[in-house]
Amino acid sequence: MNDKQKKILAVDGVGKYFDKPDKTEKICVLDSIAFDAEDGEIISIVGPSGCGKSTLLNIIGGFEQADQGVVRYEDQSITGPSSERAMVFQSCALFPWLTVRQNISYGLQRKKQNEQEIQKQVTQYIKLVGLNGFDGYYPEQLSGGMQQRAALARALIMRPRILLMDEPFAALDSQSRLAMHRLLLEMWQAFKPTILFVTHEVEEALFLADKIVVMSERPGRVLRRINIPFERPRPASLIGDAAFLQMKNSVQALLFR
Amino acid sequence: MSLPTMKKKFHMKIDGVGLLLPVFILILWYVLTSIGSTPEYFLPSPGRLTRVTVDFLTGYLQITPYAGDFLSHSLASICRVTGGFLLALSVGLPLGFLSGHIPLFKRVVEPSIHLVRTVPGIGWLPVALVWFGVGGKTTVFLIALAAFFPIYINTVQGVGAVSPLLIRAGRMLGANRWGLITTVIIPASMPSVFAGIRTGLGLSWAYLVLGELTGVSQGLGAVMMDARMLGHLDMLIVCMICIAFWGRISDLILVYVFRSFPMRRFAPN
Repeated sequence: MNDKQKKILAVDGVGKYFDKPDKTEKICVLDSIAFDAEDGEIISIVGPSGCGKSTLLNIIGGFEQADQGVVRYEDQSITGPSSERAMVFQSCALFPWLTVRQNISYGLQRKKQNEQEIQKQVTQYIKLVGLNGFDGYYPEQLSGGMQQRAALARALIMRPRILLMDEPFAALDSQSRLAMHRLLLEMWQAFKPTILFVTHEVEEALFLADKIVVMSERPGRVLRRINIPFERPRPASLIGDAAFLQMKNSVQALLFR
Repeated sequence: MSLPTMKKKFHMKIDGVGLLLPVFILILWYVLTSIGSTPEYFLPSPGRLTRVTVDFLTGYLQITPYAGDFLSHSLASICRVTGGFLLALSVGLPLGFLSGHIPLFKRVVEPSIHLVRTVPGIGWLPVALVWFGVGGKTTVFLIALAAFFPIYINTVQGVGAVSPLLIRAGRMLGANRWGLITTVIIPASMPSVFAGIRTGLGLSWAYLVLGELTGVSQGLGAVMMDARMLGHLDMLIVCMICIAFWGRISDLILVYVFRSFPMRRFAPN
């Protein structure tokens, strides 16, 4: 990977507090989080559940405001959500009243593009994520893996510079998860978006990423940033390699310290 | 429209077991009236009722003063129900939407609306008579008032309960404020809104009878009142059946309209 790549996202000293239910005091959820993302990089953010990694992603997505610090996208601080930073949610968040095709068209239609052009593109993306023939299905009629494929297509069709993924495959069985990993890496090869991938699975984080950010339990702090040296394309057998296992063990040791 | 597709559209299923009880009651009724232990003015026989119904519908037998008047009375009632119901819709939907969407608006109007709601619909009758006089206008007012509450309450509930995740997805995909309302919030709240509209329409028919009993010249409720005074119990029961019939028809039409919406997957089954 080229060292001189452009910095696309800078997370700088981000802190976030939530009110306790009785509103008497505040809980610190994120504490001075800092890391950079270069254009086209895959970064996994890994940490125990409840460490605030989803909150961090929501701040980067522009859905929540940081109480301290700042997140800069292309040197501009983030003021709200944008399709340039598209999110794939854990529960897929497809619109249940729209078909697969309508869900994927949704974003382009908000941009008021030519309808014929939109449908042409949608057809292409449906094919790309392997949902051919499921155009007219409603989300509830699809399996979890297929729902995430549709959600991925709905985000990718916006040609985002950054793809934010919040434990997107956590609810899938291991078979479909592997298939989704392969699909995600294929899409990354094709479009080269920067990907921020939040997960609590160390193996998944290591397998996908160029760089991982390891976070502590609440209050979430960055424990370590680790570069992942494995060559791409990575074979599925990588997860059995000695070097991979060693790295996995050291990250796990960090998490369960 | 062929019969099978019609059955599918209206979801008509006939369960034989469900017919047992009505058939038993019909037989009991027939036996009671034919052995002569109950007088006709107290409980008309099924045969008498059938003849009165046919007479009301067609005017062919001329055995009651209402022969052949079914359509004109029905039309008067349907107009009142439609008027009151549309009035309730046109106030309930926008108010419900605003309350569900804007918390401050809800805080302003909700306490007053619930205060008004604690007065039962019948309690409004005397006041309505003073304001609108005996008859049609009072009926429309009572219907609108009764149908308003379920429409309003379900709309507030539906709009307020839209998943924040879907709203985020919409914003992320570039929907502006207005776009979010039309493409996310409204379709997502449809199931609840439909339920409210349906309940409202049901109540409309109930309050139709109340309003028309106060004295109008045309309408099924008017016939009931008239028949009661003249001692035509048979005619009274026929009117009850007619109201049930129109209530069911209007409900079926409503479900049919919901199903032809673009977001038809949220229509009731």
